[in-house]
Amino acid sequence: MGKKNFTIIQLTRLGDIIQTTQAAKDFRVQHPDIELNIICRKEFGLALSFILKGTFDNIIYISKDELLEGCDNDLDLYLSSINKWLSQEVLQNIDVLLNFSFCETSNRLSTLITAKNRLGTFSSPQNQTLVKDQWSQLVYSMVMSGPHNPYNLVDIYKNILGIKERSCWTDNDWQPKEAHEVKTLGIHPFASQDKKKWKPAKWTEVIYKLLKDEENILVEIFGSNSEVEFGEQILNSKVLSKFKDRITNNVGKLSLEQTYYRLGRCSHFVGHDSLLGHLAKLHNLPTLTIALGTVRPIETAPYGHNTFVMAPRTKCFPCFPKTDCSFYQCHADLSYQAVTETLKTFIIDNEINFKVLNNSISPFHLDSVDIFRLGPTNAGWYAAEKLGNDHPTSREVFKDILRVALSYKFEEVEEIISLPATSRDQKRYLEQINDGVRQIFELCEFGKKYSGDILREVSQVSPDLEKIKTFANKIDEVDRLMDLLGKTYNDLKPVIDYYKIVKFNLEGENIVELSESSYIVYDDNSITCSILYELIGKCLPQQEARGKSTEGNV
Amino acid sequence: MKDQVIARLKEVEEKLQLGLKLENEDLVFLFGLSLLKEKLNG
Repeated sequence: MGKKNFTIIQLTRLGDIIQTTQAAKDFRVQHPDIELNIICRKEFGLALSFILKGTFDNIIYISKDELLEGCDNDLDLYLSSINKWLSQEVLQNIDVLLNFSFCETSNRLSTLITAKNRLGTFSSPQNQTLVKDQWSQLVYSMVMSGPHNPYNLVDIYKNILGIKERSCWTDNDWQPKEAHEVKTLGIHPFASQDKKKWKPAKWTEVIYKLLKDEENILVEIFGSNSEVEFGEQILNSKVLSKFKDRITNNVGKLSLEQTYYRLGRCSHFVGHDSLLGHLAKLHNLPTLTIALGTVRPIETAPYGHNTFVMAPRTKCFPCFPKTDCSFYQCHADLSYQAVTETLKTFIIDNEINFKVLNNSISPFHLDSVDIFRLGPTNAGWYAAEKLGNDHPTSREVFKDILRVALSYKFEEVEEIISLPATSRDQKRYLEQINDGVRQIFELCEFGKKYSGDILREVSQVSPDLEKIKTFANKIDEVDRLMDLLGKTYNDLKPVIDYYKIVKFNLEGENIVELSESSYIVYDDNSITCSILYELIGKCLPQQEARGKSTEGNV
Repeated sequence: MKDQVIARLKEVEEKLQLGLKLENEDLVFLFGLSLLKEKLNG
């Protein structure tokens, strides 16, 4: 019997390819006998081939331009060029095809490639988007719909790949690089969208203040050819002229591979959410991410020890790529003073020391910022811990509870996440959420009842079609009420949406099979609600016992 | 190619409206179309 073959479709950008590779590396360690391939866009995959070839057996490139080449503007020639690409040997006999991109193109591609098993989204012959596995259903319902997802993407990819063993994290063997007196900070002050990056002037202020206050810090600025102009705006600033000998400008001068190796010479890294943060993590560098605009701190943070994220507390943060915004309030709320002082403690202490920050930054700057430290939980899954004295928001508390519930429900993993002191307001919020959880549970029980009623009626010698119709209508009513609950309890929407996706993907060719599947989905949702209800309930009595507030573990 | 794409898309839409299953060649067309859309959107 030949080697089993897993092929991953990753058609998104460079950063996503690195995150996929991080998950794939663990897969390789645990399953060295399985052939592992990746399909990626040529423009991204080729630039990262120096990293990909260490993890994947085959890198399969797809290029729109090459498919269109020589087609002479003729549709039939273009389609035969696609068919030729699809017929290559490496795309045949795939055991498991995993779509990690969740975009229209990757859904369609996933449908076209023949595979024994398919994970992630694909299209049905009726042109509906289908997703059958639970982690991809979670991505489709929670990641795509808003900032509800409590997991890092690398962990989600690992879960889709079925990687159980996470102990490589928990031994906590991370050590900072050899302590030299002079530290080198790698900076990537750019990002793929304006929303996600500061104006160059703000970075100029950060670099100026950092170099002025700390004599033993050198700076290396990184960026691509397309970022040269922004780089010059920073480096040609008059205030930085006296620090020229301590700044190295690499913007537009290095290939991605050279950038990667040059980053390895730095001691620390700071940047917006972009590829370079992920590359720095491959060198185990301590990283600080300045999260702005659409960036979701836990979801896309670089994956590794000593990772920090600074994010503004702006009400509309994080937004969606399509959200119109001309003012960028989140950029204003994250001040250069707060970032500079945080960078100092991050570089000097290899940690973010809040005592130092409280003394060095005015509350005016510090109060509009959240700082997170990311690292493994007891189970080896990646989680964010909020630093400082501030209470987590009610939503953050519920997100942690939801995470613990889902980790247990999906993988039987018992994660311990500590809940810092919570307030009376949060107690009220949790009580209200628990009321919503109870109502979802009750609806699921009705769903189970009516699904069971259909099955019972169908098993009669002469089933009454009218009765079956009535029960089916009742099930529709249950689903409509579920949608209404989602509107009333907005923070429970991820749970409701998740089960909506599960229900849409029900297995079954006839009314019996569909009713059986429907019963199982309602039952599954009931169990999730029970776990959530119990977890929230466990948090509430502790608070009552301690009066004003309390802390504990979930 | 634009006219060919419009005509082919119409065929696929008709099939879907009639509740027919899409053939492999239709799926290849839809994949090609999504790549073309990406190219147009930069």
